[in-house]
Amino acid sequence: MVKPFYYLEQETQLIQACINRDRQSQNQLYAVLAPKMFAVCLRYCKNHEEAEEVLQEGFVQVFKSLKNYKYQGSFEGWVRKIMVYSAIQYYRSKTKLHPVIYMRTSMEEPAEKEETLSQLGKKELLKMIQALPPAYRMVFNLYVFEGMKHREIAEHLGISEGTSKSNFFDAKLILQKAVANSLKIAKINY
Amino acid sequence: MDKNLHDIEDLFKSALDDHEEMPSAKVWEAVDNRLDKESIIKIEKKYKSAKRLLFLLLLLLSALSLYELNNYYNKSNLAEKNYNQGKETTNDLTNTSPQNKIENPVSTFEKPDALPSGKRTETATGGFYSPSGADATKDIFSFNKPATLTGKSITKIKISNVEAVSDEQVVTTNKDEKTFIQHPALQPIFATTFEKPGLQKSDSFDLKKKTTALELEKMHFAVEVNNNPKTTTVKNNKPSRFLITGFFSPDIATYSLENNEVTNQPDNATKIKKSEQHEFSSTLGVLVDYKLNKHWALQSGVTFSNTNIAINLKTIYAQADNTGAVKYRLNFSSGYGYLIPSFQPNPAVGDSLKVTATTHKLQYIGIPVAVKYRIVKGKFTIEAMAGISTNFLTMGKLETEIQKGSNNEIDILNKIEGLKPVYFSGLAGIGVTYKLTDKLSFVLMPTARFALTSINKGAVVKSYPNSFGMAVGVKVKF
Repeated sequence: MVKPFYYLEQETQLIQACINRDRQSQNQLYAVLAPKMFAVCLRYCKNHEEAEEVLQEGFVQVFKSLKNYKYQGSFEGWVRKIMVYSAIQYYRSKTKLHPVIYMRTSMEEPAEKEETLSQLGKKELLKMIQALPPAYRMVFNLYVFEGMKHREIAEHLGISEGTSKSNFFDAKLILQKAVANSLKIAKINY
Repeated sequence: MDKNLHDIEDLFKSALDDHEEMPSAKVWEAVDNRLDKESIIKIEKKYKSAKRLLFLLLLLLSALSLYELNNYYNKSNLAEKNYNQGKETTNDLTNTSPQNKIENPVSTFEKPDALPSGKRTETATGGFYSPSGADATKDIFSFNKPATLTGKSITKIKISNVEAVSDEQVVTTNKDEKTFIQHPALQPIFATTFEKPGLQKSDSFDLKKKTTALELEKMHFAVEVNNNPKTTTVKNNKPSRFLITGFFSPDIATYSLENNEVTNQPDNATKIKKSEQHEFSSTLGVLVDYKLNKHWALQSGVTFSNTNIAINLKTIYAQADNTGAVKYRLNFSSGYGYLIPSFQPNPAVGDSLKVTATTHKLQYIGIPVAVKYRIVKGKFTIEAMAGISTNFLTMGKLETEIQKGSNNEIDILNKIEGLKPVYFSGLAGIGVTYKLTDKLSFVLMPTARFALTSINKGAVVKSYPNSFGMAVGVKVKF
């Protein structure tokens, strides 16, 4: 959606004020962007606490790097990128870069129909992503939500392209199983 | 099933892409605090360089102030001495009969060759000399102010050992003995004697006024006044101003590390500092002191420093290097290096290895420039020194042992990436010199060296090496 001119002007003024370290403007910018960015962080982390840590680090980086923002493309997209890199950095600092081996015990059942997924709440879906092993979660998020190629993911996470592909495949299997289980429970309850 | 697997990612994307959730209020509080802290760090960083510069300027300013104070003190002493000597001369002049007193508005120094032996001549003495030769008597001397000379006997003056100096010269006379005094801060001080057996009590010789007129001429000279046409020259045996010191200093080396803004690296300053230990480091060199005066000297020379740092067991990961080739990257305090073990020549991005028994060695040649202040106490000389050094990298070497399963290999990198070819450091030290013989002294000078600029760039951390060394050596006087 194209933003109206007055909004862009306001955004530019707000960014400028933030560059000048006006704390009130920084707070205003945070208030506008925090809900969206927190949702991004939640997907990359296993719980709220971790997501808040990443969000905090991300916003500090945003305010530090604002002077480098070239006013090209969406500002929200630029901030989102920083959040994703903060999440990657957090992940790298917390875990060793060894690929996670997930042993499949049984063939997961496929999800039934696309419509059935909408019956599941967003929070439930989010929890499914959060429940993924960290390496799988990172690869899944970067591939699905950021649209990165496996080669790029491999470079960012310091893993091989093959590992990235394998992790993505395994992540999808886990999610599929989780969705199937949720739907089964929902049916029983219904 | 494949279709469903493919779909599931799109379904998650469409469901969660526009998801929003408000974080707790404590996140903003934390961001707020961090921003305050970052501002303080930014200010601290900004002024760190300024502080270092200020420190050096203060050192130089202190040195200059002490030098000026020293000059002033010596001048005061000299003035007092001259005043006392002048008093004696004035007494002599007072006793001189008026007919013997000659005043020349513009006095001419008569050449000794043209002066017949035994001829009584009243001429002004002293003067200035354009330093074109050792024998000043061949030049014409003149004064801008009236010269006063009294006496009955022939007075002949020869000026020799002409040498450029600063400030005024004072020549006074005390009966048969005439003294010529130079500026004390500048060696040598000459004293010459009027060998004039026939000099009468009423004779006096005052060059004070004339020599004062020479203030602009920046020179000094030795004066001989002799009644005898056969003049003798007082030779100036100036001691050398140069001292050479050879030293060796075992050093306690440390460093301060700052995180650099290099992304996608698993290491940071804290991790690197934890994983490294300094091993034996040393500095040796030859320094030359140039004595400015009794207390002050300038020092320069050449130093050679050697620093060894060991790295603990560490996991390294394969990454693309600057050329795009995938190699194992090892980050450490001085910089980084890319390794390719022979047992795994084509690693994939993200592959890992363990490295043990890693040491990196840095060697620099330094050109120090320092100011020294010396206080002589008998055979002991206490010296304080401060200055800066320009350090040129001569070697950066990394030795490591790579392990993977049963494979084991020692790798040596003769080039450390990210090291700057030159960095600057500050020096400060205080020590003592013991005079063994006239020419030889023993030197003990504990010295602190601290980096003013980082030794690397483009690495994960910025490294500022510091060291404290106990320099021992010998000083030779020439």
